[in-house]
Amino acid sequence: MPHELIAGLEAGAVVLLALLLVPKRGVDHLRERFSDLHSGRRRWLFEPLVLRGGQRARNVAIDAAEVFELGVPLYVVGRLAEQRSAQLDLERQSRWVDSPKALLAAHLKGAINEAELHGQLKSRGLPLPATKAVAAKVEARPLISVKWWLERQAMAHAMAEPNGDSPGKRAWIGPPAEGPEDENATEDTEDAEPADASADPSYLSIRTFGRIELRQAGQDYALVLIGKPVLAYIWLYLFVRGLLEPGGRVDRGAFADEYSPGLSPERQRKRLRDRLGDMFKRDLPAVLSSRLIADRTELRLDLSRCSIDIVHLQELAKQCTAKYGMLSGDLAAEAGRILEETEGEFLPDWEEIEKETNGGRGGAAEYVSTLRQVADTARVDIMGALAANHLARQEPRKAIPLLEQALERQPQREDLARKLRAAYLETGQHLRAIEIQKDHSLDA
Amino acid sequence: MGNRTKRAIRLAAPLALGVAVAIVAAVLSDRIPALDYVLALSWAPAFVLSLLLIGAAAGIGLALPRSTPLSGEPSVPEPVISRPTIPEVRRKPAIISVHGLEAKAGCTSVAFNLAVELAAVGLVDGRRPRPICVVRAGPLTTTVGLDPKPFTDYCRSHMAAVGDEVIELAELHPSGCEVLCVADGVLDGHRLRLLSSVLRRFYDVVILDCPPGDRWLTDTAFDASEVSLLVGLPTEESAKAVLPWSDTSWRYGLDARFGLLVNRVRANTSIPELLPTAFANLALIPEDAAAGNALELPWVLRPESRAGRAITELAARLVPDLAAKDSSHAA
Repeated sequence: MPHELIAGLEAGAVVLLALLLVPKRGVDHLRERFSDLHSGRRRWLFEPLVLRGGQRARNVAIDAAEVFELGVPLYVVGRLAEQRSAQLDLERQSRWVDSPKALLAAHLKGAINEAELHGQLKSRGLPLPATKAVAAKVEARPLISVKWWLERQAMAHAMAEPNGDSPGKRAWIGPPAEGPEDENATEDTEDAEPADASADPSYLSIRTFGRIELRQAGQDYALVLIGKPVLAYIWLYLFVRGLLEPGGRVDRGAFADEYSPGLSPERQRKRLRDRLGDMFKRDLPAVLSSRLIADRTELRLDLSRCSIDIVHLQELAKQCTAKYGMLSGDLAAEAGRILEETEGEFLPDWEEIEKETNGGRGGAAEYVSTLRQVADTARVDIMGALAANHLARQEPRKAIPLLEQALERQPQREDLARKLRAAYLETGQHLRAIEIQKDHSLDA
Repeated sequence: MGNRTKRAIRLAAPLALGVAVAIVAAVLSDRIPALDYVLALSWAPAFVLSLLLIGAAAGIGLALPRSTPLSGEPSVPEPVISRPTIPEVRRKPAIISVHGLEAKAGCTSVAFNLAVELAAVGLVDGRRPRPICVVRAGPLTTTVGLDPKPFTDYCRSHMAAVGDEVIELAELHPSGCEVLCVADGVLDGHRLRLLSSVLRRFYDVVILDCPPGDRWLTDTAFDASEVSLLVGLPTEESAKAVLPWSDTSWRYGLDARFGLLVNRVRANTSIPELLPTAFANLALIPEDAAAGNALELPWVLRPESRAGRAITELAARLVPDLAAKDSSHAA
């Protein structure tokens, strides 16, 4: 045998080994492929071989070609990994048959109806699919008369506070109405208000923000009242209680104690009697004294036929927030106007009056403080509603100052912070939006 | 050049090269004594090793039966689908917005399949979750008879408010998820904000399929949702469209809230380099010959669907508190 032939066969053996070892195709992402095969995320190392039943020789040739293409080591490892993946796939298929997805698919294909689907799910102990969401129907309740409601409120208050005099924390401003016994006045509270306040000479317009104004028929009686701090204390105290509670009834003995703390009960009652006498007889104009109603056990202020700015503020706040979005032009204008009118503090002279009367030792400051909070909340609500109106009208720039001001007053209001963030985003101020998100810990 | 031709070349070329190398070695062995010596020493072990390797391959080939594709299962090469890295939504209810990077990227299908997946096998407090999918009206919704008109009429009659009754307009899918079909141009940023505030009170998951082009709506959807999924294709157009999103998210440090889904990934199509580098959170959804209209029979309800499997994995990572822990679709 010639030497070249022998050397060629020797070289052929070495080349054959190399060809059997080295893959002849791209083997990218080999590690991920094996990892996915091992966990069953994929079925084949590269692609499935299309083998045909009954053509054994052809199938063997296809298999041999794959061995040559991949190289024996990769082929062997790949086949082992594919085997594991196939086992996992079989397990998955066996689980699939009883799975809710398979039952749902059968239902969608029309193989089983809905009742059968639910029956099969139940028999397998699987939860049923969620039912259709339904909005709660809000049905109109039969109308209840205002009189009944006021009586109920007064009764509930009396039961809750037997002494009738502890400072309340309720953030509710009662309608300027009288007690249940004044049926006509109570039922007609709103109707009784003339369309034009100046048309009725007995109509009292009460301004409480920034400065106190008690105006009737164009004349302001506030200066007369504040000029007599002791009487002003009684009048304003009853006024505040009238705002906080329907009817605003105050137990006479408890008020005497509030009015003159530290004195004996007899002296307290006498002092109060004297001051009330002064009010009725000469020291206060009839416009103010006629509204004071006193009997042996109780005192109250008649707030019918009155226009009170804080009541109007809260009513407007309720109207605005109920709109939840766009406001009518009139309502928006009215809201803007009342925000300007209620700019100052509620009853700004109160502390001074109280100090002069009883040295600030009573609990009345809490009532005033509660009303200040109520007013502040109402103002913030109106600002928020106006801002929402601007956002709805695609005027985010106008909404921003309102929201900033509102958030400054009540930084805990997440709803306002969200609106402000939206307004910043809509005006392209993304950095500010992120700042507000961080400052108010808003969810991303 | 077809796949079969390429394969034939792949097989023939090394063979020819091997024969050539053997001939050259035989010729050179006369002139180079060292080569002759090496060949004389190595041929026997090489031959034995070759026989062993062939034996091992034959043994494995005979011992392990070949698994063949199921009927309906594609026999095309499987692309490498890396495990998804997607931000988690832990908030209840979860709001997820889905934005398409280009037309027909599969935005609606992905959104709907996610909703069905969660409705079919998810669990919350021992019951199935109730997701809602707000989908855009289009050819897909038309084929299954979803009508955007009721919602359009509702918006016309409620210009600035969205009440609870809006949920009555959503259609219940047998899986338990609900679908609200919305025509393009009906939703704007403000209305979406109002709508999502209603939906979050009635549903465990809200998935918003957002139409492209409306910047205000997009921003609002992003603002309302905890995670935004951008759905693109492995194309240059998607790569171009993803850039502004990537820039914005990076500038404001919000990239952790985005997830990029590359849909219809094939083994023989490369993904533009820009796509996987645009976002840290990436999930691939393979091209699925078995998919069909996702609204008729969702991919996640087809055992052979690769896309369905990918979405099952995606849901498990996206909403871990709701998604099934041992789904039959999951690996």
